Amino acid sequence: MGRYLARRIAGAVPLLFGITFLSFAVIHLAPGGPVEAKAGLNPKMTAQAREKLATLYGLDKPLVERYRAWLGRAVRLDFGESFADGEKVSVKIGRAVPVTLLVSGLSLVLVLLVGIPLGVYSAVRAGTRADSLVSGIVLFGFSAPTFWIALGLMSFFGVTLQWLPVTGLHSLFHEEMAPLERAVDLAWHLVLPVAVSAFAGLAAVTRFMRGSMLEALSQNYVRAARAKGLSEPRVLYRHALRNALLPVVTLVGLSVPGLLGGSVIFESIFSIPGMGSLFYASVFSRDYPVIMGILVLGAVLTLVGNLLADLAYAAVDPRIRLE
Amino acid sequence: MKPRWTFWAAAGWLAFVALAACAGPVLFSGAASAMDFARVLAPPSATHPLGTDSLGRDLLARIVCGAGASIGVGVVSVAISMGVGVLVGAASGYFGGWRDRVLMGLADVLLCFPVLFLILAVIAVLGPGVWHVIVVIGLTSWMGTARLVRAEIFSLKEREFALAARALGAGHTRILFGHLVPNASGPVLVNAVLGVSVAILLEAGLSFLGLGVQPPTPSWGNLLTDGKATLGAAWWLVFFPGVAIFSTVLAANVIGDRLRDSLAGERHIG
Repeated sequence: MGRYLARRIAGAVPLLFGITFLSFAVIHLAPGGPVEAKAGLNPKMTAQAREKLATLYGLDKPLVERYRAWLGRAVRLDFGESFADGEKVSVKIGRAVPVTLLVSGLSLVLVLLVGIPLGVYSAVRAGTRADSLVSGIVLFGFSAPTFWIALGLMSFFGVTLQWLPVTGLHSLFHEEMAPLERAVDLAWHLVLPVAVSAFAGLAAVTRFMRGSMLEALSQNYVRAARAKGLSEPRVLYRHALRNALLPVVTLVGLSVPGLLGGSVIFESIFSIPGMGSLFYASVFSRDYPVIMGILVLGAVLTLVGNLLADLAYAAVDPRIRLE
Repeated sequence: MKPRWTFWAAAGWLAFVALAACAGPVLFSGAASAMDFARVLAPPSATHPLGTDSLGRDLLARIVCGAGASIGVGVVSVAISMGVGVLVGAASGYFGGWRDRVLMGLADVLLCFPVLFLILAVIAVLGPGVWHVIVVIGLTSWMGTARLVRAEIFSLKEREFALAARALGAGHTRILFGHLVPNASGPVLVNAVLGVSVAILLEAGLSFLGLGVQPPTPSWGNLLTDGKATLGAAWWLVFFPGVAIFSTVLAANVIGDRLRDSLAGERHIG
């Protein structure tokens, strides 16, 4: 186990080097850097001022040297300061992470709470009308553009009925509210974003769960359990479901980076200041340190998520030995 | 077994949309850009079946003309991603060894980025535009196909027909593309059909962010963006482009699922 972990982590190191160098090179070799982005706002900028800015950002040095300097700081978890406002990258990301985590965490819980029972139900009733109905809903979920659904819900619940707020996470007078009132206000603002974000994941989990449960139900140990004369609920829930849940563990592990990555599209629709919005803004202002910080975080999370998925899988399935 | 009519309905709808995408620009390009300031934001009526937008342009004509951009992006980007995926996967599975490690390592690196982040980064570099979107979607979505093809080739290359081809003196290229890849084409085809639906959704999303097909050229994504501005006043501007995207993606998904099911059945028997 310890050796397995050590090997996996050792394997992740070159991968991380590859990822950071590739992103660093692509971002820095791109035409139009942060100096041009600032010059675009101020056409009177002189050539000397441009040079000064380039020196300030360290853009006058060759690529490999810049990468080495960046890496030297990054291994000490120092990702530098934003070009846009001089704020520390870690502070900027630290502010966006809880927002995205709140929305996507809640939506993941919702997805699992609804998707797993729905998938199981559909598999147990395979071939019936109820199953076709669930499959139809799943197909609908895979095919509808998220932002279209978001716009529809916004216009119905927000504009026509005026029940729910449609943008941001706080009301205008959030600061003056009592703590409880604030929580209610936040929850109220979260309803639509969480619902929309769950909608997309729901189809995937339901379909996955249905397939996995169907597979489990066709196994010999289920036949054996039935032959023993166990009650149907016991066969379904103690024998089949417990095995059918195994692949779902992997699916959840793999969705870890997505939890933090957030969705650029729906964060922009609902004006949520999360990771997606931050990435979008920093990409377009060529804020290299912030872009790199987010990409590194995303890559690390993906690797960690993969590792966690494998570990969890081994933990719940005694047949699997990690070598 | 799901009823057969859903498959044929889906195929029929896709054929219709494809036809509209080809004929639309010829028949409707005038109507799609003709402004009529007397009928701004007009609701659906006999003269404008789906209503008009904020410049008085006919929405139906714009949706028909937008079909080309949306479907085109979907099909061409998937063609690129399938091409790259099959090449990488075939080379990786066939040769194995260090080539396999390097190619799959590259795929792993790319898989570590959320796709939309990757696309955004590249669009920020290249600037928005149809071809950029196509190339970016194509080059960031081949990894799944590559892994699939690699796994298929891995098992196929040990089968008798591959050995027979080698015994007859066939070269690597011939064994790979004459014998192995055609036998792996089933799952690739399913992947491609489902990939088109994902790509259409991605293009719509990018256009929605203002990074895809640029106005005044209509695409389903940027029609939705236009509609968002007048959401409270003109529901049809958001509703109908969304229906166009949804129905087309749904049809592609129905066909993809159906192909996958029949493939699974075939393998089960064989």
